[in-house]
Amino acid sequence: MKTILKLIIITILLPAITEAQPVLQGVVKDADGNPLTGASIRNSANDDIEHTNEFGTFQLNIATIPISIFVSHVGFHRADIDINSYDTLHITLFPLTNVLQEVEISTGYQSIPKERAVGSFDFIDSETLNEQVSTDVLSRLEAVANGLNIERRATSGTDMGIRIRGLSTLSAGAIRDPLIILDGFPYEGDINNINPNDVKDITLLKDAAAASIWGSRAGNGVIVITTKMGANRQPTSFNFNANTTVGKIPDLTKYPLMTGADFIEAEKFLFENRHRFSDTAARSRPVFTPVYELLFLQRNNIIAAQEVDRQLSNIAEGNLLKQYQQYMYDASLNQQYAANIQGGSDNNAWYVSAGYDRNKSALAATYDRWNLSFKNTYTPHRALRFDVSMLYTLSESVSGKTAYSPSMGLPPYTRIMDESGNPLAVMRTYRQSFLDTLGDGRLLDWNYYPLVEDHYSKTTASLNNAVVNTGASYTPLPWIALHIKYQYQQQKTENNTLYEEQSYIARDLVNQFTVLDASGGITHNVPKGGVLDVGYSSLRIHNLRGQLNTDNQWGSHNLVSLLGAEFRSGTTSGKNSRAFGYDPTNLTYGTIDLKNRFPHLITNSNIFIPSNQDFTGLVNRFVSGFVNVAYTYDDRYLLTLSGRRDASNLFGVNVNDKWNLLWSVGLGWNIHNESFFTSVFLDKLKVRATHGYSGNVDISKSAVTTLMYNSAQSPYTNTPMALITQHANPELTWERVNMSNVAVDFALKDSRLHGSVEFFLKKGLDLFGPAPMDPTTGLTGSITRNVASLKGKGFDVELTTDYTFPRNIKWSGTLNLSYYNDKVLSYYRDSDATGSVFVTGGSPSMIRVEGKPIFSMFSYKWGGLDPATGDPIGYLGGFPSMDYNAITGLGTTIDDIVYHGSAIPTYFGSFRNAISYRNFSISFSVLYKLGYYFRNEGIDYASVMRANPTGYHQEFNERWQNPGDQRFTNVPSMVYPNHSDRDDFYLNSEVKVKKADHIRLQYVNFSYNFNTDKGFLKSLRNAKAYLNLTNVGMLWKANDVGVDPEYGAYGLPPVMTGSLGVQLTF
Amino acid sequence: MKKTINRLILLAMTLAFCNYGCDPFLDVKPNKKLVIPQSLDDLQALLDYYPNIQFDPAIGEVSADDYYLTTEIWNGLFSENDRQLYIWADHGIYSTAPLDWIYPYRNIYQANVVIENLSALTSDLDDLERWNSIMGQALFLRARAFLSVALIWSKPYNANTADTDLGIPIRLSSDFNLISNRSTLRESYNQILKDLQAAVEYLPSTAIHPYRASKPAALALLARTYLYMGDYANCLLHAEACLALRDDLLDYNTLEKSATYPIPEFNQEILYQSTQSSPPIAPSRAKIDSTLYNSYNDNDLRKTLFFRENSDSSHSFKGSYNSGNTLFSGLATDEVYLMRAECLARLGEYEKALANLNALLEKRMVTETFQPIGIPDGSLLDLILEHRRKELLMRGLRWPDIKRFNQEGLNIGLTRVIDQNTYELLPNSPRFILPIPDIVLTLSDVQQN
Repeated sequence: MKTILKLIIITILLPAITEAQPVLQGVVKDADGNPLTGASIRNSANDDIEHTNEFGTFQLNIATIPISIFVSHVGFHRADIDINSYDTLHITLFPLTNVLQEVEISTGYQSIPKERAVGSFDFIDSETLNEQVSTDVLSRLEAVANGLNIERRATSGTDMGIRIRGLSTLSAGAIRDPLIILDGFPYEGDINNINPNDVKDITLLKDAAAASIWGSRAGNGVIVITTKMGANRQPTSFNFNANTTVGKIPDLTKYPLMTGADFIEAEKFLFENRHRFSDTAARSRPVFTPVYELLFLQRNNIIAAQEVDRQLSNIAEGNLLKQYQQYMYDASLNQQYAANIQGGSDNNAWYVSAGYDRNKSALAATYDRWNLSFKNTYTPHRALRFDVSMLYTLSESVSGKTAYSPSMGLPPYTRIMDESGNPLAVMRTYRQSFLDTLGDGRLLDWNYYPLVEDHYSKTTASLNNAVVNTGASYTPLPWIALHIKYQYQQQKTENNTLYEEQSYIARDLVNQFTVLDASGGITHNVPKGGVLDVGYSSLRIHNLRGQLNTDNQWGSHNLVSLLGAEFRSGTTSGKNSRAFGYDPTNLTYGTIDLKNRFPHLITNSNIFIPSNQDFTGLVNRFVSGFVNVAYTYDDRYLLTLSGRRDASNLFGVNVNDKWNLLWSVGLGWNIHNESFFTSVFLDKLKVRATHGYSGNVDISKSAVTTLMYNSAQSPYTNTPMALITQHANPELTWERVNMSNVAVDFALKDSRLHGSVEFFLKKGLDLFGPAPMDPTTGLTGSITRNVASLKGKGFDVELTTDYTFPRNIKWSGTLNLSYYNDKVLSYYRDSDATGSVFVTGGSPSMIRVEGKPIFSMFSYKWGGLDPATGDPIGYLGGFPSMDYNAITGLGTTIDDIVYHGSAIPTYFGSFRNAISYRNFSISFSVLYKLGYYFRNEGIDYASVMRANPTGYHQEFNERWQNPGDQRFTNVPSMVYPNHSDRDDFYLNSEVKVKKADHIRLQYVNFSYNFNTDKGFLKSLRNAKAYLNLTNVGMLWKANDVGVDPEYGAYGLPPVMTGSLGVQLTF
Repeated sequence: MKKTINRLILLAMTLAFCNYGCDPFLDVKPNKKLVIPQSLDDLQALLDYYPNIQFDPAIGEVSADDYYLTTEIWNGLFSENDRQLYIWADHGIYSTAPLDWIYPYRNIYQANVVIENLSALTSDLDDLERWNSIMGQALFLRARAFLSVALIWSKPYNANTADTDLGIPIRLSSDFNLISNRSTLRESYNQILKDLQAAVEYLPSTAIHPYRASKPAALALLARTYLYMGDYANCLLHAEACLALRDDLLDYNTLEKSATYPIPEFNQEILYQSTQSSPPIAPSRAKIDSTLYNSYNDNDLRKTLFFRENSDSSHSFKGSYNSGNTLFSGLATDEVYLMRAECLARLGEYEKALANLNALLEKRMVTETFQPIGIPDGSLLDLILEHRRKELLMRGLRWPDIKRFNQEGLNIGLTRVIDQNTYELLPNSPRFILPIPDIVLTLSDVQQN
């Protein structure tokens, strides 16, 4: 058996004064000869333990020899030494091999050696992070982290979709992203401000210990980002990194959109049924499609049938998607440059960096970002330390062309450019034939030209972010330290949207408020010219933290504690305003009357000029106190306790309810440090467990009725207006969440395989959830109550192997596998269960059915198509039914509904590999998400009728048309009049639910390390060139409908990007 | 364990000089726009939130016969519920969020919040006037909502059976944990009368805008309530009290006939502004019953001011007092004139009734050709009711009128024709009382009609 433990004992005979000494003396050093403080030396006979002092020396009473002693220290291999004499020992401990290198886990408040940690952490170093190239840092996590899943379908404006171990609440509005900590403080600015090249490592805190450290906002886990820093007595080094990323042009033709010809067919059908004929008389002059206009002309005998057919076949050849792709989209190009210098003297350690990113999107929107950072630690005296750091970000983004979106309402045959390259007008709000005759040329052009609209309307957003962090530490005694830290963050953003005079928005506004009088005169109630929307917002956050740390070692006992308190105050203020008749060349604007109403040119209804004036003022304040105690006995037994109380300026809540206590307890056992541990297979074996409690009150819910003032006053009474936003709900209590985590860490001998297996269990009681309300109470929809309980369980497995093949080919592979499944234990629900309670929409939504996961996939039972009519058949009370209103409404019971499974991945993870041979290395990560379902899109006839194009699905051409078709298709017939509940039923039926399981190759990274020991590269310490491919592609997917389930049929998956870069170190 | 941790944390906080002493730090409002209602300003602001307050249920008008839909338009309605409602189906006429029920009860809740909070405010003398006004507005709002629900979802009032007839759910508290159930019809109307009588006392004689209630508006609503209760003496009393304060009429001769919407909004007739809107009765879809249209005399300005001829020679309505494509459903003096005339006629005071009708018609007929009407050959009451129909169409009053007239034995039946199918609503069909939305039945103790 090969032994990787190496021990060197140098025994030097010293002049012996006495024959027999009861005390053994020695010194413990590392391989570089530095003394090791705190190493433990254990007498195997009586388990007496002594520790080395700051000079690495120790004394141990030994009654008899020969005997064995064990010498151990965190991060080093244990040395087992047979003692045959009382000679002074010189012991050298060797560090655990590279992969097992001792990791210091940063919780944001302190760093703890992984060996002494009992909580659930995942640590990602910068090397792993830098296998990917991106402007931001968080998007890199999914492919490399353990237990982290990014949900792409449910994301809203502020929700990044990052999920760690599921949800802890059923409340729809609750924040579901983890808390992000940057260098010790919660980060609240734009997450894209962080330069990924400055990041040293990232730690995920996954269990209850996270919440008890970081408080009630940490219920979804914590992501701790630590940035790079110099070290004392370190030679100055200079680092440079540059890369360029090119993205493919998005393939819009993947949208399952109806063809132009199919759409014309549908329109002809509607026209035959005289659909929307009455709209020709509507005062609002609603727009018709070009095909409808043509059919009207034919009907009114203005154009002959032959000519109409000729024109229709010409229209049918138009392809909106193709034109958009060709004329609006281009390859994206991102450039990134970053440089840093770091170093340190005896008293100083410092780090300075600069970064510049320039991104140009596929739609020619640009994003420029400048990053500057400066950090310094000054240690004037052994007991004193001062830290100062500053991060500064300046970014500017300019909008580009308008993306294609099905919701634009354009028929699939629409052309945006003619053969000679001129922009074409597309249908918008008003009927073209009406606009053509309106105003005898007195109005501005009222057409919308998507091809050139971006020339005239631009949004420029600039952002200034500065984080200043100062700290002082005083260490009066070696084991006690006082820290005080203060951080100030200020982020200012300014958004300017200028709609130039030629833009559609500006022309439309001017025209709407134009008054044409019979004598040919014209009045503009909105002055001609551009429209400028200006928005400012500023975020200012003060943080103050006082902390008392102790680190005490006596005998075999080690006690590390942390006691502290912090204050945090964040203020957001903002204002928006709009100028009309704006002239960007000389900065003049026109005056408007906001108080009076003016007739709309087309409808003649009196309306106000839309002003856009708004002010916001938000204040968030937190006070917290926290304590954390970690006791270690002989590096074998670990006990941690932590607790935290949080209070915030919740509105309308009693003081006592503002305070929230969270706590956790952890236990650990380093079995490999036991004297009896003599496994032939295992090098490391550790068991650890935590249990914690957290509570939560929904910040937006309160015990009293609150109202919110409307920004603008009532223009009628000229008095302020307010709306009730919260209904007095004295029955609300805290949500209670208990979470347990049990884990085993192990490493096989010689490090072939090491990793950890963690199990967790989560139980939530009195959880918030929407309880349906009788509308007679005056409350519509639902109200938040403590109505639910929830049980979640899962595991995270991480396995890493390092293997060296012949010819020195090295392979390292990490498998991350996570399982998560939750179950709603109870949920108060009166018999309001409409079909739509179970079955909603395309993206996963909280279904809240007892005994099923929160995010469940349900569908209506499918009975096929009626052979005679092509109507879809559902079930009601167990019998086939076509009462779609009842099926989708209150008639449906749980028995009429099919349960498929989870709507979010139950198994997910990644398999990351790095292979290196000589100077070459290649790394890649395969991502997989398994065990869940998604709902595919389909033809929505109601949307076709409404000219609301989100449902123009190409499966229209597979619809039932003749008896017998039901044998080949599940797509219902097109009928008139249309019943929107029929569409609802079909789109949410069994046949639309597909397995979402898939595996994708997320990235591949090739790199080459140049030899820097000779030639012109001699001045370099390190030189590397790399090529990176991201979003490489889908390797396998379970569904046969060609849909990437993470984005859905109407979502556009990110394109593959390729990057080329160099990294140099001097 | 918990205790130990707690103590340690308290120690930490004491170290940082902060425990419960942090209250001033934490008492700052998280959003400056948030307020716990505690001042007259706050409560008035709630009542001035016209985007919610202004809406009345439209389901009665949709069910009534001032208009009809062609098959083509009916087919083109986006909501199956609206199609079913149009043909008076028993089921499938509501979406899961029945706005027609929500609008009035949302206003009732709002009013209850105001009333409860007002009671807690001890007003000093300076504010007494405002306190009274706000209390009056809230009571008015609540009564108006109760009445609109009663007229649609209950039987017409009959004093003999009112103690056993099902009334409406009466909610007088903002506590949403109380389960709703139905009162008797007498209790319902008594509550409406009680609220309105109090509102009359509290409200000022004039309001700064028709979106705010005033004494004449409350009197007009009281008159309307008594009218539908068949208490003509009291109706007359309150109509007169109302007109004593405000009797302005708009002279239709002064209006621009060619205007898209000729009647100006917030005009001098409007006592209280509110709106009803629903896809079937939108002027672009709804066609005016041709018999009704043809019944207007050519000298009647309403014939040109109220109706626009469509390309198919049918007519659509442009006479909304909202001066737009939504329908007015508030209170106006013309209705009060007509109530006064009707009550006078019913009480046998024909001369006065006639004078009253002529006062209105003078402003409705072409001035040059106007001749005051003399005692007609037939029934004066019928003539007044004919003008009631001609004047007040598309205001949500036709449906309750049919119900009360049928109770008097007028036997008005309604007919709809769609796709060659004829749907009939027989006089005194129970379907004249609309079914209560299912969602209400499942979540409360409310009993179906």
